[in-house]
Amino acid sequence: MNLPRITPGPLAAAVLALLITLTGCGFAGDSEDAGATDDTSAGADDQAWPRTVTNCGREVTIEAQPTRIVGFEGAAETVFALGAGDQMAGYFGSERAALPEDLATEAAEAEHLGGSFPTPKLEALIEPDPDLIVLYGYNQEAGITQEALDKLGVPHLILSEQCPESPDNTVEGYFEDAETFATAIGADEAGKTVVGGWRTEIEKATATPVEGEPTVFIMGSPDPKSPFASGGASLADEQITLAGGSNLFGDTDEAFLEPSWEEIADRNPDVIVDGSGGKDESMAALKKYLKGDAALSGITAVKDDRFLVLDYYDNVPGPRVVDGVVKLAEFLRG
Amino acid sequence: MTVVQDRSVRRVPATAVAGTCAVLLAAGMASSSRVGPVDLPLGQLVTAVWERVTVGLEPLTLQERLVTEHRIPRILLAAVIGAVLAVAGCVLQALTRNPLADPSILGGTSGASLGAVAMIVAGASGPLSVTAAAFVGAGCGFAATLALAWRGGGVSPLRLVLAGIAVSYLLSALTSMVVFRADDDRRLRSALFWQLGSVADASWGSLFVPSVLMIAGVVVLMLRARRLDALSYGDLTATALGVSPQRLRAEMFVITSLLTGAAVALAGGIGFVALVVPHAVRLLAGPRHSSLVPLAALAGAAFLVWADLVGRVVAPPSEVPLGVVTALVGAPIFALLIAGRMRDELA
Repeated sequence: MNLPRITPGPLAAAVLALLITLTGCGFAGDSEDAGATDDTSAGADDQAWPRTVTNCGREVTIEAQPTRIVGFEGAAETVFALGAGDQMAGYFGSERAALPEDLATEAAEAEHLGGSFPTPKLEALIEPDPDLIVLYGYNQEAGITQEALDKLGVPHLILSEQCPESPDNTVEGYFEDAETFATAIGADEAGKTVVGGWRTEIEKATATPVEGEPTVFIMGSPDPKSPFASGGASLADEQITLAGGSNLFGDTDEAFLEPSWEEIADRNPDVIVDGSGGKDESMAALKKYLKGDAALSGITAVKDDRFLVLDYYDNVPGPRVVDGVVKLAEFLRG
Repeated sequence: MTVVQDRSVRRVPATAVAGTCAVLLAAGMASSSRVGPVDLPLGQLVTAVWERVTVGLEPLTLQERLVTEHRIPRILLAAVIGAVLAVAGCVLQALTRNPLADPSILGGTSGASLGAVAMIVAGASGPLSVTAAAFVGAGCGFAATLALAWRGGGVSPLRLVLAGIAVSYLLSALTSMVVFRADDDRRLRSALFWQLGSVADASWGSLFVPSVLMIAGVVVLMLRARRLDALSYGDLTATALGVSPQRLRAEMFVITSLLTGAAVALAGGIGFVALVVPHAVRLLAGPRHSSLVPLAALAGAAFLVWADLVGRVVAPPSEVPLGVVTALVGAPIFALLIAGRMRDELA
C-alpha cells in the first residue's frame, strides 16, 4: 500500500483535470457580454434582402428569404414558434406527437428527419438541400463545425447557449436568439409578437411574490442512484430565479454537477424538480427512493411532498423554456 | 516502489504489512466518517452513532441521519468491496498463473456492465433491478468464460485467460452497441456513472446480506489459500502435492465469480483494485498465499476507503467516481511495476 506516499496536490489536480474532461463543456461561465445577438438588419425596410444578422459575434448574411430551413431541437422549435413551419424543409428533434400543440401544428409542414441523439452527421443535415441551417450548437463528432458549414456556403445560426466563445445561457439570451432568427427568416412581425408574448407570460406568472424564496433542486438524471444537478451556470438556474425560487446549487460555477445525496440533503431543498425527461415514471422512482430512505425522507421537500415534473425541453434553450419558467412559477405559488 | 528494482530485497514481515494496513484502514475509516458535506462535531457524531445503536433513528436530526445512514454504510461498503476485489485479484492471478488476471479480463466486469447498462438504458429505474441485472450479467460472463475454458473436468490457465478475453470483448462490444443504440443521452450519463463505480448508494438495508456473504466468501478463499501455492508451482507439482489442479481451479473460479459479481453489482465497475493491490502486497510480503490473501483483503479495504474519501473531497460539491480515483492512483503504480519487471528481465 503506497497510496499515502503520493502527495495529494498532483493527485487532486489530476482528478480535477479528468473530471473537467469528463463533464465536458459544462464550465461555461455566464458572462454578461455574451450573445451579441442584436440584429443589424431591422432597419428602414423590413422586406429587404439580403439581410445580415449577428449570431455569436459572427456576421451571417442571408441572400433571400429562406424556404428550405433545416433545424435542430430548440432551434427548429424556435422557427415553429415564429409560425414559419412552411419555411422548414425538415428538422431533427422531438417527434411531432411529443411537441406542444402550437409547435406540432407548425411542425406538420416540415419533415421529421430523425431524433437528435446520437447527433446526425453533417451529410444528413445538408441532404434536404437547405438554404438556412438553425442549430442548437456545433458538434465536432458529427462533423458539424463552423468551418465545415461555412465551406458548404449555407448560412447557419446557433443558439447563444452554445456559442463557442462567451456563451449566453440566460432566458433573455434565448429571447434575443429568437428575435435574430425572426429577422433571418423574414418573420419580423412574428418575432416581436411572439417574444413579446413570452415576456408577458413570464411576467404574469411571476407577478405575485413567492414566500421565502424556496430552494429548488433540479434532478437531471432519471436514475435516483446517480444524482445530477443543475448548477449556477445553467439555464435552469436562471429559470428558477425568474420563477421566484433559489437554485440549490446556484452558488457553483458549473452548469452541471454530480453531488451525492448527502450533499443535497445537507443543503435541504424545499422543492425537488424532476427535469430528467423521464416524466412521471422517473418521478415515481425518485419519490419512492427518497421516501424509502431513513435519512433522505427527512428532506423538507420530501416531508412536504413538494415534487414537480418538468419536461427535458423545459430546461434547454427553445420556446419551451418559457413553459419551464411558468410551470415553476405556478408551482412555487401553488 | 523501489522494491521492484531488486527482487532479492528482504521481504517485509507479514505482521508489519498487516499492522500498517490495519492502521491505514482504521485511519481511513475514521477520517472518512468525519469528512463530507455534513460537518458534525466529533462529540455529536459519537452521540448520534450511540443513539442510533441503542435507541434507533427517532431522536436523530437529518444531518445526523445522513452520517449514520449514508456515510458510515458507504465507508463499510467501500472496505468490503475493496477486500473482495483484492482477494479476487489474488486468486484469479494464481488460478491463471497470469499476473494480469483480474475480474475484468475474465468476463465478469464486462458481463455486469452489460447487464446494468442495458437495464439503465431500457429505463428500468428501480435501483434493485439494476443491481440484479449486474449480478446476473457478471454470473453469465464468468460462466461463459468457464464453459469456453472447460476441458477434461477442469480448466487450464491459458484457456481460462483466452476464453476470458474473448468473452470480455464480446460483452464490451454488446455494451457499446446498447449505448450506441440508446436514444436518451441522460440515461447514458447514468450508465457511464455506473460503469465508473461508486459506493455512494450504500445503505444498511442494501449492505447487510451481501456484506455477510462476501465476508464469508473471502474467509473461504483465505482458508483455501494454501492450496493456491501448490498451483503456482505448475500442475504437475500440484498433482504430486495431492492437489487436483483442474478441479481446484474450477472451484475457486466459481467462488471468486460469485464474490466479484456481487461486488460489481453493488458498486459498479471499479478498476485496478483487483489488479494492483495483490501485486503491491506480493512485492512487500512475498508470494505465499496463506499470508498474501488476508493481507490483500486488508490492503484492498484500506485502499478503497481512502479512494472513496479522495473522490469525495477533490471536487466538491460533485463527487468523482470511485473507478476514476482508483485508476488514477492504480495506473501509475502499475506502470512502475511494469517498468521494474521489464528492467529485471533485460538485466
